[in-house]
Amino acid sequence: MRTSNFKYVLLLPTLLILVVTTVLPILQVVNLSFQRWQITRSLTPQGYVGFDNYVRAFQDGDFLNSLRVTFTYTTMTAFFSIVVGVFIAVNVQRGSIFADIVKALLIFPFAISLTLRGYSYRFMLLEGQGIIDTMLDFLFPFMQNVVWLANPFWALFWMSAALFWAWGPLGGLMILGALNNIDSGIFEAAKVDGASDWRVFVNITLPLLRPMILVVALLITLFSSRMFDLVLTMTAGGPGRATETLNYFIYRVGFQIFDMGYASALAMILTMILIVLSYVYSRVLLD
Amino acid sequence: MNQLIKMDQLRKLCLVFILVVPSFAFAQLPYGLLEDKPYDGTELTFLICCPAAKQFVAWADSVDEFTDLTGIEVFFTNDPLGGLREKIVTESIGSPGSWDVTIYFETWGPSLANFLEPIDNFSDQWSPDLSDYPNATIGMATLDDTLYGIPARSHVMMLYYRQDVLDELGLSVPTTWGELTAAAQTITEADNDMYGITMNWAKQGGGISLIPWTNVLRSFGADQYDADFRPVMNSPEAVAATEMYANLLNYAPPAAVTYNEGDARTSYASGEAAMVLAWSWAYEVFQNPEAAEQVVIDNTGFTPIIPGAEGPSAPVAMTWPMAISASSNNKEAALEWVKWMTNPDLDLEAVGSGQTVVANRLSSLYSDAAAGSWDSFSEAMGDAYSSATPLPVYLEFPEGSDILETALSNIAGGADVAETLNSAATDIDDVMQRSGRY
Repeated sequence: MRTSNFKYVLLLPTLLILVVTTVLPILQVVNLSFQRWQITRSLTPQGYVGFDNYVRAFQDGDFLNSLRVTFTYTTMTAFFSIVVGVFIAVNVQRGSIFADIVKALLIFPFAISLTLRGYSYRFMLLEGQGIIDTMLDFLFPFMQNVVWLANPFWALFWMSAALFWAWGPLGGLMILGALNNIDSGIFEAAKVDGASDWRVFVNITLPLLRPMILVVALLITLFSSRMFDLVLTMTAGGPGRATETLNYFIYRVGFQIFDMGYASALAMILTMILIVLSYVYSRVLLD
Repeated sequence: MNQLIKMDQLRKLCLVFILVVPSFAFAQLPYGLLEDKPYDGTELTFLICCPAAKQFVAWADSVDEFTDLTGIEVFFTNDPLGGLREKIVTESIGSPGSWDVTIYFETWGPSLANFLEPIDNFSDQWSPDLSDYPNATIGMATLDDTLYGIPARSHVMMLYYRQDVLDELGLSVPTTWGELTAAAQTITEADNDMYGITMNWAKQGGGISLIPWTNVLRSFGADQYDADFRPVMNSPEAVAATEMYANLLNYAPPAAVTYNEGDARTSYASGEAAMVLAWSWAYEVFQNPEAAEQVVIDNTGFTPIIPGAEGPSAPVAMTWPMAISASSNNKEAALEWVKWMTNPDLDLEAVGSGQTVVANRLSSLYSDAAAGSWDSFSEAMGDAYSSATPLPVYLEFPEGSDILETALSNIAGGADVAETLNSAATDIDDVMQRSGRY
């Protein structure tokens, strides 16, 4: 009995730190989300307004736009990251004298900070000056006049590229680990049965990789749906509001417009979305 | 006899010693700084951005002298421009007393007023000579008849152009927007691998992309708001002005739609375009061998912003008032720093030595020293200030400017001008009503 109670005592310091650093701030945000607080008008909250901030969110075109942008951005990034990741994993696993070097290099894009990545991509995409723009102009002359970050679709695509450029290789490494754990006898048996490489990939490799792909997808989804750094450094949400993600929108409301009550409500909505997403993914993984 | 003379000399020497030494010892400190170092050992935090700005470098260079005189130490924070306003707000709310002095865009003033201690509150301790500043900049530092800060970094919009390019193509310096458009077209269509004009259309936050546009609006007799702050940026005059402004994109680098203010300066300094609308301080960039091509340095001309069809227009000006934190624990020491930073000698020395073109005081702008360092540029700035007006200064600026910057960004992407401005006006009207302005 004493032993079973003692373990809770040991947990206490950790729980205390968790409560102070995580639970209390979240509770404060929840509390603020039901209040009106425009910092430019008052240094303290201006009173409770019930669910007004939440209702306002779903009537706010900018909020709905940011939801749409976040969904598109997350889907695009997860899709390309997984495609690139699977491609890398399958090719690296085939083995070559460069495989070990490639594995070591794959982690590097992820090690570069998002802010630096954002600025780098911004300059690399500069019309007529950036290296990516110059290469694409050479390869696809019909796209010479496209100003990448001024076009709503391309701006979102390149913001996604700046992310899957790092998540693709990292996902590749994770999928490679799963791939190495698959019994090679399965592939050999399929070969003996006359299955083509493509058929083996589609019918054997991919289904066996599904759990790891889902883990990678979950991580990318959670990461990209909170995207902020690349928006700030590459587009500031533009052109117009075409790349304004929900997280950036919350920042804008909270720290540019200084409407803390509304920003808190928006932050709670984002948290709810992430919790639901995590739950859905975990259910799929468990199934 | 010789001994008598020596005695007389010794007496005189003693007299001099008695009279002069004490007068040095108790000499008043300049600029109203308090004697006897009452705040000796105080440490001030100065929230500031943009450490590379030459004027700020001059300020940092003067800290040691200030510390010698007052015993007060000053630490610069150097935040990025984009983050300065939120730093002021978050530090003031989350950590009151963590900063003592700052500078801010005058357009941020109403939204920051809660966090600033008005300079007027120190009127019993200090009376700055405000008559030496352009009325426009003092007006920008004043909210509801209360002076919140002292203009510490002021700019006015100018048109910069490449004289060699204009000469080569037989063009005169544009004096109307129509002439400017025609010149930009001629330059772009000439076989010289150069665009007529470069611009900044990107959303940058803080209303930066609205500045050149507002100049054009006012030239056309339009504005962002009427006297009651009802949005009028969709009036027929404003639509015509914006269409003209958007039309200039045809003669600008394609990337100008994504250029921010700094990109546009770099674009002109690198020789990509022959004209640019930019703040007066940009002249020091265009004269800096480390930042501009030699051909740009040798051939850059300037003129106050172009008059409109209705006659001379009011160029947009701005200032960064230097202000004291309302939550500072060292307000009196902070006032000493404000006195020092805004002293006339520092202002004159910075511009007169050629270190920076930025001067805040009329006495500096029209000084021989400034003329010696910057030819007629400082005088032109002084003249431009005489008719200058600020961007609209209002409490709802953060939301209003964001809506307008987004509208301009959409227009740069090809959206219909009238429709976009109508939509922006509706959105801003909602903001104003929600705010209870009318």
